[in-house]
Amino acid sequence: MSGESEDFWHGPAPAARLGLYRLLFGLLIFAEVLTWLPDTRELFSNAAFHVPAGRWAPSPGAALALCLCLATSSLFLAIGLRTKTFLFCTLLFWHALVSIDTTNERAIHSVAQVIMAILLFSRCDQAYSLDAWLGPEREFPLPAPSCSFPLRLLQLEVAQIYFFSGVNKAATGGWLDGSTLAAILNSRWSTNAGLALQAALPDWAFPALGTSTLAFELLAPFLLFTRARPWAVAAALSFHLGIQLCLYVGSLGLHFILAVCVLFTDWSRPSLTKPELTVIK
Amino acid sequence: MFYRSSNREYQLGAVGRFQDGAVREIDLGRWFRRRAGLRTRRIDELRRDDWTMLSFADFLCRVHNENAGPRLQAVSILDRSWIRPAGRWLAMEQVPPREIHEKVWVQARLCQ
Repeated sequence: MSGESEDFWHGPAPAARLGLYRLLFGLLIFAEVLTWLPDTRELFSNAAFHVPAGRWAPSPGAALALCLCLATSSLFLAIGLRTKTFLFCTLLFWHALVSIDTTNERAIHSVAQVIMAILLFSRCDQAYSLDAWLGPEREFPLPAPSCSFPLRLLQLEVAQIYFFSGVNKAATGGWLDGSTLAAILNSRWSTNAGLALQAALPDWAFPALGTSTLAFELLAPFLLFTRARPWAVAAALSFHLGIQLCLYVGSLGLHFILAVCVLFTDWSRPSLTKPELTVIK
Repeated sequence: MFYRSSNREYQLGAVGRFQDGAVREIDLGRWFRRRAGLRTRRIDELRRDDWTMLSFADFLCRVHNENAGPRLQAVSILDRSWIRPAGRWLAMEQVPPREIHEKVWVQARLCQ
């Protein structure tokens, strides 16, 4: 492996970035699970209809208990108390619940599982966590840099989702001429703002926006790893804020906004980074 | 999730034939409250294939007959759809009946 490649995969990375990501990711999962709580009987219990039918599901009481366990474990994951234990529990409960039913299945269900699995093998508990604050080394809030490998895996996970969404759009067609975008903005998934936008936009805007979407998804995965990263992050933010405003996509957009803002942006303050050693002769 | 994106709205419905001879709409809201989007219920997003629709009919027979009231003898599953004008939402109740298209997925499935 060349030095540059070695540095990319295993070089030092600010541990604070993974810690901050874990904290906010845990809060997003917690918020999502709270929305499930009133409907656990319908969503996860054996008293409800699921697709595929006949698959194992817990009793209504057990479904509620599982959901409460998931809410609790995700909150502990966010605050970083017994971080790895509760990360494992969150992954386990999340997988158990979202695999019961595939009706209206959301992409974030599987994406979150991959993210949690990567975080499990990272040092995401080293920063912005009660574990770090209460631990013997007391590296709160910013510890020394750690190996960049888990961070790279998370970045690649985000990048490949963009890229293969773009490939899928290019293969299915309708994006260059804008017809698919126009149909989506006029669909039942559209928000009131999306419906209004669809009616107000001139005809030429749909091919322009459709082509921009395709170009963003195919190029951003590469630009996010180059010096053009700030531009790619800005484009990603505009992209996801636009989607959140116009379409009902649940928490997916918020997860991507979090990922591009934290995983691809270093928020460490220079004054808190480790000073370089200088040898005075 | 956008695989059925179009300006055609759709809503799943079920009509039951009861032991007392009555034929009437079954209120799916008794078992399905979860919203899948701003204007759609989770149950409206069921896959439209024969196997899923037959399973759904069997499920309705079972859960309805577990409760008190006239016993359900047979159930039909319908998909109702209508065209929505660009730029605004239109609920099924606002659409003239002749403009609502009905597709029957399951015709009078007998309850066990």
